[in-house]
Amino acid sequence: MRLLIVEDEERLARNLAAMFESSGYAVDLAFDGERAERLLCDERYDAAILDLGLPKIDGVTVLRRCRSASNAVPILVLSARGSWHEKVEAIDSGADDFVVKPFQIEEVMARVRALIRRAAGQLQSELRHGALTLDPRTAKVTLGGAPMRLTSHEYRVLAYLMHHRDRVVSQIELTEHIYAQDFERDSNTVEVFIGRLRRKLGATSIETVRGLGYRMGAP
Amino acid sequence: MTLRASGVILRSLRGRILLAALLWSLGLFVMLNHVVYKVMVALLPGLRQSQMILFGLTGSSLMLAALWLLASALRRVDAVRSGVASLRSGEGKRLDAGGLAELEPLVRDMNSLLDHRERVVRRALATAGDLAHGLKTPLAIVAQEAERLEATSESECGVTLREQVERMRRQVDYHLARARASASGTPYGAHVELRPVAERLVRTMDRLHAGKGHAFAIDIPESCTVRCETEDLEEMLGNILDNACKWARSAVTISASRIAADAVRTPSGVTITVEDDGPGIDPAIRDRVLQRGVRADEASPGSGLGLAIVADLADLYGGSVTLEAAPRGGLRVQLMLPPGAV
Repeated sequence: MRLLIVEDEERLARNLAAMFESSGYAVDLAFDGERAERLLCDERYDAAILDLGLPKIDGVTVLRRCRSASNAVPILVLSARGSWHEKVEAIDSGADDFVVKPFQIEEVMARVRALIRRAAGQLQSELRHGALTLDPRTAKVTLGGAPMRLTSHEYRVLAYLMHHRDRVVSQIELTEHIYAQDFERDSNTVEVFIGRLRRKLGATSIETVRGLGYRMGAP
Repeated sequence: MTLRASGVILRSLRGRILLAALLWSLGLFVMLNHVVYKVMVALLPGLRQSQMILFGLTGSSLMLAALWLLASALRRVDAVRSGVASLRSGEGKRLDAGGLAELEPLVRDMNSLLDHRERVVRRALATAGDLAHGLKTPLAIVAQEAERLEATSESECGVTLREQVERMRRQVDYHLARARASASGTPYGAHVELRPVAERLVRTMDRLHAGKGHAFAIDIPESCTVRCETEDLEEMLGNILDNACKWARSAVTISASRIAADAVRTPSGVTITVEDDGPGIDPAIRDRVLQRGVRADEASPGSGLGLAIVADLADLYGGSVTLEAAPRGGLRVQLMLPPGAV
C-alpha cells in the first residue's frame, strides 16, 4: 500500500511516515501544497493524508484540484482548525475523512486503513483468502493459522493483491503501489517478489494472467 | 437660487421646523383674519361670500402644509430609529440618514463605529484561530512523542503526557468556539436558512461516519430560518449530529418546527430536534453533560466538550438546549433558537 503524507511541519510528517512505514506502507512526503499537487497528479497512491494549512497552495485548493482532475484517491484531512464549518468545507471539497490536531497516531492509522478498505470495497478489517489471512492493522500474514515471515516489499505486493483480489492487477500498477517515489524502480523485481511469495505461500497462491498481470489464485 | 435655498431648508430638521412654524402662524393669521371678516360681515353685510371662502381655504391649507412638513421630518427621525432596530434583528447592516442634515454626521459616526467593530471582531477571531492553529501542531508532536514513550518505556510518563495534551486540546477547542460565539452572538446575528445547513452537515456526517451506515432523515420545512451566524449554527448542529452519529445504532433524525409565542411569556422560536436510536444518556448525568468541562464518557475519542459548547453558544443567542429520552430509546436533543425573518 502506498501513502502520501502532506504536512508542512516536517517533524510531524516524519513521525507519521515512520509509524506507517513500520506497518508496511510505502510512504511519500510533501511539505507544501505545490509538491503535494504534483505528486497526487503524477503518482498512484492508495490513500493520502493532507494538512490544510500548507505553504504555496492551501490544502482545500489541492483537494479541489485533485477532485476536479477526477482523481479519486481516498484523502484524510488533518487540520488544526477543527470547527464544523471547516469540516463541512473540506468534505464538500472532496475529503473522505477529517481528523483534528492534535491526534492519536493509532486513530489516524485506523482511519487510513478504513479508507483504503472502503475504496477497495472491503468491509472486514482482516483480509481472508482461503487459508491465507492478512491483517493490515498489524501487517501480519498467516497461512492456515501459522504466521508467515515476509519482507516489507513482499508484504506490500500481497496486501495490494488481497485488497483487489476480485480483479487482475497489472505489473505496472503493482509497481506503482509498492514503492515510495524516490525509490529506484524496476518492474522485473515485481516478478521476483511474486516468485518469493509463491515459494512461501504455495505455487498456486498467485496466478499469472498472461499479458494482463496477476491475481490471487483460487482459494 | 431659491430652489437651492429651499432645498437646504428642507434638508435640515431645524429649517423644516422653522418653516412649519412660519406656515402655521401664517395660516393662523389668515384664519383669524377670516373670523375678523365674519364679524365684519355681520356688521357690514355688503362683503362678498366668495372672498370669505377663499380666505378660509388658504388659511387651513397653509396649516395643513405645516403639519405635513413636521410629520415628514419626524418620520425620517423615526426611520433612523427603526434602522437601529433592524441592525439589532440582523436585517440591516448599516444606517441611513434619510437626507436629514442634522442626522447625517451622527449616522456617519455610527456607521464607522460599526465598521470599526466589525474589523476588530474579524481581527480578534483571526488571532484566536491563528493561536489555536499555532498551538495544535506542537501539541500534535508532543502527543506523538507521548505515544512513543508509552510504547517504549515502563514509566507512566507517556500516559500522563497524553492525558494532559488531550486536556489542552479540549481547552483550546472550547475557548476557540467560545471566542467565535461571543464575537458573533451579538444582537447583530444574521438570518440563516436551516435546511441547507442541515443538509450540508448530514452529507458531512455521512462521510465522517461512513463505516457505520446510519440512515439519516431530515424533516425541516422550506424557508425555516433562525437568527444566528451560519458558522455558529453549523458548530451547534455539527456537535449535536456528531454526538448522535457516535451513539446511534442505525438511524439519526433531524427535524425543526416554529413555535409561536404563547401567553405564558414564552418567546417565539425555532426548535430543532435531533434524535438517535442509541443507548441514550443516564438521566442522572444529563444536566452535567451540558456543563462546561464535563463529559459523559471520558473514554470515547473526541467527544470533547461538544454538547457543552452547544449549550454555551445557544445561550449567547438567547436560545437553549435540552436533553431527554427519545421515543425509540436513544437521546433526543432539542435546540431552541430565536426565529429569523420569514
